Amino acid sequence: MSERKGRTLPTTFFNAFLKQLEQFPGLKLDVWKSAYEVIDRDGIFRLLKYRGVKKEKVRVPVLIVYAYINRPYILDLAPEVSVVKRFLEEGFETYMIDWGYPRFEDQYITLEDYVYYLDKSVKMILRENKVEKLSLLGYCLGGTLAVVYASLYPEKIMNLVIMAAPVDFHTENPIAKWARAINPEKLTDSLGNVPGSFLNITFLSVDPIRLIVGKYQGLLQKIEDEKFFEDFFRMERWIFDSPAIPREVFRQYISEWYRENKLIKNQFKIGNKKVNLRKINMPLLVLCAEYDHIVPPESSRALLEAVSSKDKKVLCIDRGHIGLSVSRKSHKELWPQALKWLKERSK
Amino acid sequence: MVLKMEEWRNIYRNIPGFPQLMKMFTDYSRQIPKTVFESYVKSMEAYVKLAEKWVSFQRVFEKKWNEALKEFSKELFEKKGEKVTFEDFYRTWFKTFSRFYDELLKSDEFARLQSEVAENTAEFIKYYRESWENYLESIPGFPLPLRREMNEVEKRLQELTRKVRDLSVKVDELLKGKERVKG
Repeated sequence: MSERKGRTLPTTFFNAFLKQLEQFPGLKLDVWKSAYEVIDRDGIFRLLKYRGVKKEKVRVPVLIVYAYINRPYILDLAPEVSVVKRFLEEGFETYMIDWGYPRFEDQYITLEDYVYYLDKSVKMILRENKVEKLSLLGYCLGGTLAVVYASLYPEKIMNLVIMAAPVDFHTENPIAKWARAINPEKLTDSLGNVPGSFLNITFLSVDPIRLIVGKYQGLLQKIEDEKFFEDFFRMERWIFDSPAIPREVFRQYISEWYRENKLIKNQFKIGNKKVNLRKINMPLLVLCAEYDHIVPPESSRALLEAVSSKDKKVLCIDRGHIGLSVSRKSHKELWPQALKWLKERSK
Repeated sequence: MVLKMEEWRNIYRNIPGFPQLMKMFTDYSRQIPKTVFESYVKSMEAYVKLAEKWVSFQRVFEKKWNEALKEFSKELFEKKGEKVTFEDFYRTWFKTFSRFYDELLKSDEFARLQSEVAENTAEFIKYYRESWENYLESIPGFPLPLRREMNEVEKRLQELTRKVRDLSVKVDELLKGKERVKG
């Protein structure tokens, strides 16, 4: 199982540990809670359609694009902190792209292939809903893909929402610094696809005392709180469920985005098409987290100056990169505002 | 009784079949391509560099740990006489060590060392694998494809997939144009 999914040994051990935990009666560590059906498959890519829970539908559907370096169910981790569920409750026809687990045979997939599949999905959704435009929501590097797509095909996008998406990669945060120092060609020449655990270690190293010691000390303090315990291990399941990154994609995004910062300079190309951020003219909502140690808010905010949209807004919350989607505070304060903004522009 | 080298050789020479076996090994080793040894030497060079960088990498962590520990002890010493609970003790440790490691991880020195460790690890893996692949390639009739051959196949397949995809998009557009003309 681990080999096929491109997982590594620590992940396999961790999953075995989770399975043991699930033996405890009453303990629920399952994720990806809202019901969905797979409406398209292309290699490892899948397009999911969530089953609506409300009769009154919003006219413009929404497509969620998550990063290819983690699994998209972070947006549907548990019912009380599910972004997907909130969209469904508001009456949005909700779709999501799952980039899957790249394997050895997928190592030459490029960013161009991701954008192609994004376009294929958009076409399918537009046809199915008999509309000409949809709203695109991108999270993390999925947000960067959404920005690339919206600038290539602005005529198909009604609203663009990005969550903690890096656009200006030349920031001073440790991950950006490390990515600039690394030579992606050398790494991919020897590793092929870059294992998910490589990125896991990188993310943990950004704040090792808090993420390796503090987090588990926090668990010990609240170990008797069943709800906390379940949420904690659901989150751990997501953290360690990291797919490998196809070698070509890793090479492209480290060298062209992190090192050369081509996207914000309007020099990035998909195939022979130049990505010009000025072509983004639709309403734009930037969601960011003040304590984001992976994508600092200034990296996403840079998009506001680069686009030609007149209708643009920023919503920020005092949480981290993941807290933006799974914290109770952001579900109480940020998401009602974000959904209101989107609904008003989806008529 | 201590046997001399020549006496040892004579003992082995007299074992039936041993000289033939030795000749076979010697002949075979002469057939191993030079590239096997070249890649192996490169992998060892990368390994030596990696070991050196790894020590520096560890030292940087160790140095920071010691600095943080000194600061932590100082802060605890200042509380001498006060009642220190485990909670206070842990919070002080957490705060001090987080601050010190934050400084380290944000430094240019750390980014440089980290990339050097990663690059030398990658080079070691690359040349070590290359030396094995060159060796396996030299075995007549070796029945399995090498990783570099598989990579090449995967690369060509992906290029073909992309070509087919682009052509289907063009065909769709042409068909749509034709329908529009008919309509």
